[in-house]
Amino acid sequence: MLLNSMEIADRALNTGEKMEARDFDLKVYSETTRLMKKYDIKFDKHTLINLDDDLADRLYQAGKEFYLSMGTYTMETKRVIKVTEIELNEILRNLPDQIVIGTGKDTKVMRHRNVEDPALPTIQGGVIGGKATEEMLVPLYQSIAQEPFVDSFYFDPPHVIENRPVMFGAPSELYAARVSVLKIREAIQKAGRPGLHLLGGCGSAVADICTCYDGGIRTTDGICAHTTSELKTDFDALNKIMHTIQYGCMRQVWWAPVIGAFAGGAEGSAIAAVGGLFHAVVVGQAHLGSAYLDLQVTPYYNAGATDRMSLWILTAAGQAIARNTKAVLQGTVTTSAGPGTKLMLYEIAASVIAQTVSGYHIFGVRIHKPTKDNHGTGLESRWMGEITRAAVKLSRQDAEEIVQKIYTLYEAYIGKAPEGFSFAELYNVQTVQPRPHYLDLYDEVKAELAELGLAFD
Amino acid sequence: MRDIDVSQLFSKLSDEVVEYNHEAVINLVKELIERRVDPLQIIDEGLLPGIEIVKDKFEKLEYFLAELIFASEAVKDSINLLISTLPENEKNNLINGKVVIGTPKGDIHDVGKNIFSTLLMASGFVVYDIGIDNHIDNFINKAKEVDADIIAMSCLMTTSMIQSKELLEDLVRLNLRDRFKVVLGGGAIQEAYAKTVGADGYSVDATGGVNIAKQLMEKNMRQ
Repeated sequence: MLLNSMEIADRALNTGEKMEARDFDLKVYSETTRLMKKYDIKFDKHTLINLDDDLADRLYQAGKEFYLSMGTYTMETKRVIKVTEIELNEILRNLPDQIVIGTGKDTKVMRHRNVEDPALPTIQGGVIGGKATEEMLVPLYQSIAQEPFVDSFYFDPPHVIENRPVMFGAPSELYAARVSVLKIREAIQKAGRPGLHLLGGCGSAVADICTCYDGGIRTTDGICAHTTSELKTDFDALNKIMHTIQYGCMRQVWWAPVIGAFAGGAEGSAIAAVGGLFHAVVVGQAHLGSAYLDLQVTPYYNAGATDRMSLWILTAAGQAIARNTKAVLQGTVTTSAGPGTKLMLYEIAASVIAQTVSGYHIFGVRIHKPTKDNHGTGLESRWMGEITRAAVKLSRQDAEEIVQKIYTLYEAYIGKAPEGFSFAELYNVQTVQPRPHYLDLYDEVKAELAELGLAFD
Repeated sequence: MRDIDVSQLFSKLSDEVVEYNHEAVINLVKELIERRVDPLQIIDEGLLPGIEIVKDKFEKLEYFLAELIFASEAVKDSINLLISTLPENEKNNLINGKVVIGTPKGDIHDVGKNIFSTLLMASGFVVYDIGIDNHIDNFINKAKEVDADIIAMSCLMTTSMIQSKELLEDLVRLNLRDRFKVVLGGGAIQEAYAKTVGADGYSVDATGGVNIAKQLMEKNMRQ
C-alpha cells in the first residue's frame, strides 16, 4: 500500500525513532564513507560531465541504500521517518513520468528526461536569492515572463514592503506574499502569458499557503517545498506539502547536498545527492503526480555549483536518477558571478549543457552569494533557453568537450567572481528591455561559444 | 633528553590531531600533564599546530566538515582537560573567549553555523551552540548564563535577518549592549546591513568569522 501524507506525518510526529541531530549528521558521514567504498564511487577530477553509465548505476544503488539506512530527520520532533524498501519501491513505481504545468495556451508538459535525451528540457526562470524589491516586482518578472523560451518561473517576495522589513512568519510576511503574487500575476498579464506556471517561494508555510487562491497561486501553479541538508525536514516543509496535496496545486520539492559538509567530498556528496531524491519523493509525496523534484548542488565553499566537483556531482547524480527512475527531475543553475558579466554567462552555459545531457529540466538562475536586491534579469533565462536548444543536439562526450573549453574561461575566477549588476543597471525599467551594453555582451559570449562548437539555432 | 622527549610528544600530538585520533590526543595530553609541561605550551606547541594543519586541509578541500569536527573536538576536550588542572583564577587564560551561536526564528539552516562553531572551537573558543530556530531571548539568556563574550547569529533567510536588529535593540534596552559583542553572518546578511543594525562584526564565511571573533577578543583585552 502506498504511504500517504498522514502516515508520513505520523512517523515524523509520533512513531519515528528519536535521534539527536548531531548523531544523524555524523551517521551521514559514516554511511557515505562506507557506501563510496562498497560501490566503488570515484570522482574523476579531469571529467566535468560523467560519461560512465556503470558508475551512474552504482551511484543510484549507493544513494538508495544510503536513504534506506538514514531516513528523513524531522527537526522539531527529532524523529526519523524511515521507510522500508518495499514502501520506497512502491512510491518509485508510482511516480508520474510527466507533469502538466500552467494553463491555457501557456500549458507545458514536464516529461521525464533520459540521459542524452533529444527532447528539450523546460526552463523555469527566476531570480533566486537576489530578491526583487517591491517597485521592481512587475518589471523584473515581466522581463522573465516575456522570454519565449521560459516555460515557468520562480518568484519570492521582497524583504521590505511599504518601507517596513518583512519578518518570517509575521503578518508582514503574509502581506508581502499577497502583494507579491498579485504583482506577479500582473507581470504575466503584461507579458501576454497569463497562464504561465508560477512557482512561489514566499518563506514560511503560512505565507505560501495564503497565496494559494484563484487570484494568486492557482492549482496549475506551485509552491516551493524545501528540505534541509542532509535528509532533513521540518514542519514548515511538511505543512507546505500537506497543503499542496489538499489544495491541489503543484510543488517543487528540492534538496541541496552541501559539498564539503557531512557527506564529505565529491563521492560522498554524490551519494547524498542521489539519496536526496528518495528523501524528496517520500516526504514530498511525489507519486501523487503534482511534484517535480529539484536538485541544488551547493558547495559550502565560495563557488557556484559550476566548479569541477559540483558539475561532476550534478551530472553523475542526474544520470543515476534519469537512468533508474521515472522522476521528473530539475537541476538548479547556481553561479558564482552575478548578472551582466561574461563570467556568469559562461557558468550558466556550462551548467545548462551539463544538465541538459544528464536528464534534467532547468531551474535558475541562483547566485551563490547574492549581494544586492534585484540581482537578476530575464536575459539570463533567455540564455538558459538558447543553451538548451544547442545542448540537446549533443552527446555527453561532445558536451564534455565543449564544457571543458568553457570551463577554462571562468575557472580562474571561481571564489572571486564579480558580483555583477542589478536589474535597473541592465534593463530599461520602463520598456522592460535589456540595455544595449548587456545585449552586446550577450551576443559576444554567444559568438565565443559558437566558436567553441556550440551550434545555436 | 627530557626536552627532546617532550618535543617529540608535541610533534606526535600535532600528528594525532591531524589524524583526528581523539583517544591518542587525550592520552598524549595526559602524559604531558604528568610531565608537568606548561598547559599553554601544550596548546601552542602541540594542539594548535595540528589544528592549523586540519584547518588548512579543510580550506583546501582535503578534509571536510566531519573531519574538522572530530579534530576540533579532540582539541576542545584536551583544552578542557588542561583547564581542569589549573587553579580557578588561571582557567580563563587558556580560552580565547566564549561564544553563543545559533540561527534565529524561522531559519533552520545549520550547516554554515556548524562550520563556524567548529572552526571557533578549533581556535580555542568555548562555543555554546543553541541550535536553530531560536527566539532572540534564547541568545540573550544563554549569553548571560555562561557570561559569553560574543553572540553570533547565523542567518540564511532574509525574512529572518530582521531578528538580528531585534537582538541588538534588546541588548541596548536591557543595558547589556556593552557586555556582549555581536557578530552576524550567513548568506542573507550583507555587510551594509550588519553595520546599519549596529553589529560589532560581520563575515560572509566561517573562516572570516573566526578572524572577526579573534579581533573582537583582542579589542576586549585592550579595553
